[in-house]
Amino acid sequence: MAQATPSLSRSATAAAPAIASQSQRQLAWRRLRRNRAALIGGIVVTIYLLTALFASSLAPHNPIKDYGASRAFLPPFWQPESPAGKTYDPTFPLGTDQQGRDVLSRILYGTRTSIVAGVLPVTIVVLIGTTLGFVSGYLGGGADNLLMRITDIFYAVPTELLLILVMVTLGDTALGKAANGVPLFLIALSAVSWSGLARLMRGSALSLKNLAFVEAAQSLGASDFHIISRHILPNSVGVLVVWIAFAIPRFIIAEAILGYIGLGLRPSLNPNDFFITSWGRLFLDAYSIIGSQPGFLLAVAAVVSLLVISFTFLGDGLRDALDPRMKK
Amino acid sequence: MATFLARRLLWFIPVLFVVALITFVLMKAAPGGPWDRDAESKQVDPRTMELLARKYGLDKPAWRQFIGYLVGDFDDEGQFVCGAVCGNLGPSYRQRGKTVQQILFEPPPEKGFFDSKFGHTARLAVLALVIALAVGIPAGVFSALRQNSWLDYALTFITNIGIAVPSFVVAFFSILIFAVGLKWMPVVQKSWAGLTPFIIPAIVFGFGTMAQTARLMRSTILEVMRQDYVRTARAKGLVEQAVIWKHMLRNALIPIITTLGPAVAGLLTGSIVIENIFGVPGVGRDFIQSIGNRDYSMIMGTTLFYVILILLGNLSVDLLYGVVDPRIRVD
Repeated sequence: MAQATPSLSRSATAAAPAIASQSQRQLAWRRLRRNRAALIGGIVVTIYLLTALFASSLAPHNPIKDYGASRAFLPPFWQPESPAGKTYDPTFPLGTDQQGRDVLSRILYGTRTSIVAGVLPVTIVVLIGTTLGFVSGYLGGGADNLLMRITDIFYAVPTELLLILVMVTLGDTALGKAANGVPLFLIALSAVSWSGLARLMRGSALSLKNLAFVEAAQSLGASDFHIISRHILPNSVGVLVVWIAFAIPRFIIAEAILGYIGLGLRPSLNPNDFFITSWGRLFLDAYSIIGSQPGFLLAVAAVVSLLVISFTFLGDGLRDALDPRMKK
Repeated sequence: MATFLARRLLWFIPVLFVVALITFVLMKAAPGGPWDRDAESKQVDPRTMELLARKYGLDKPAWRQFIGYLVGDFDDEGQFVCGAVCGNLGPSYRQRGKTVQQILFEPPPEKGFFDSKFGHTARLAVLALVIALAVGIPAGVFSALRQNSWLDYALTFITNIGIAVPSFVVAFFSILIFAVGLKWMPVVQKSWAGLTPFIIPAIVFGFGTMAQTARLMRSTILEVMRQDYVRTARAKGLVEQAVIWKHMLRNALIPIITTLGPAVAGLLTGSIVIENIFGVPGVGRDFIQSIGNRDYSMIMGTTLFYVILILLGNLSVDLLYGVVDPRIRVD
């Protein structure tokens, strides 16, 4: 109860000044720091975020420049010779693909796209999901009923299936072609994923609205908006943060699956475009040349796995830190 | 019980209707028809296109097409042709002369049902579920019985990886290990007879479910171990094996069943991607191909079929609760 505790700890400090007071946030932070797996996960996630931000400065080569047939299928550093008979060239640490493009640079640029593909839809879903969830949970009534029926239907329909349907049917419309397909991807992913979070936030609002501090605020004449934004929201932040930590990798994988099927973002040949390639596209590229360049697929799979595992460790740690009662 | 079943089955109707409606609206919003993106053939001339549209009823107004698809419509001779409610998912636009249900369920000549598209998908999904439970449950039990041993730590580590990394990525690792590295199987499997070629795809596919089962089993057994009835069972002199497998396991299985519903749903839709990666000739791989071909009736039929499977999966899991735990009554 982030609302109730600060005042409690303040009075505790007054009584016994020797003990420094700690807010819920500080306590949670301390619990998180003690969790080694979560800490490592957090550091790795930060490194990926920085990589995404500085992809263009970090990449040793132009990701779409092809270095010709003589330098195609170069092996990565752990393989002295590729199945195609080429020897390792230190200027291409992870080797090259069938067109002689630098794999490392392509993965770095792909990281940027995939991170954005994970973070941006989460932002949209959080805005929609929390608003609808809080309003329906707190106010109840007909709107609440409607929301529950809609989420019931979405619950029966797998999100991947809906996502594939939207991407395939709208992919060739003006919306699908705009900005490498990024807007359509964002809209599609948000449209199929908001209901789960709305349900979660509704549950949170339902369990909070009958507690004493909400009742106190109501009796003081606080408006519904005030109660939702100042009482329900801060007390739901823990659940929300954990949901976000697990949603981002899920969305990244969703992009990767769509890209692999050939329904994801559209690759661009303009080096100044934001979207050059994504992890999904790289899976597709790498799998098609697995016979002559298996190191490419291994590198992509390893890069994706490391981020997904780190997010899970971080998410588990956040859950344990923010709500010790939920600890498994 | 009967009312519960009836209510749940009635709920299928609005869900399927909404799914069909969403799919239909999306199909109509898509630019281009199924005939104008034929890669290999020349452009279909306008006259043929008109005839094709007439043949498939695409010249009728959209609402009538939708009703006709779901319930049925009268054909040119005034004969009523029943729609999706009778299991008739309509003709495939691209595989001429075949209906969607024939493509999904009809085995090749002189082969059994399990060699149909759905037969392959079913073999993969059932095998994956069986492997996941057969490995996950004992792994969780042993992990709990030897809590904080190296075995427990090793299993917990594998479990955490299995939960974090999706089968989509695990599939690529397994191909690198088993096909490229160890050469136990070809990258693209040619024959899908019997169960042997399905084993590695099924392990990959069920890996996440396996990990979740093992984790849940471990924590539940740890809880059950401290219960009074376990102490009673030991006190009355039961053999340790009987205490574990009869008293602890049966009670610990209840939470596992609650996770089976989402797991079955995940296995069914996950097959879309996994079949595509391993080249299993099932419903999922066909779905992706029909997406590439813009075979709208195929896409719509397969989507409805997937949703029905998931609804039935969730329902049967709910019914299973009552069997495993007589204390739970469905009403």
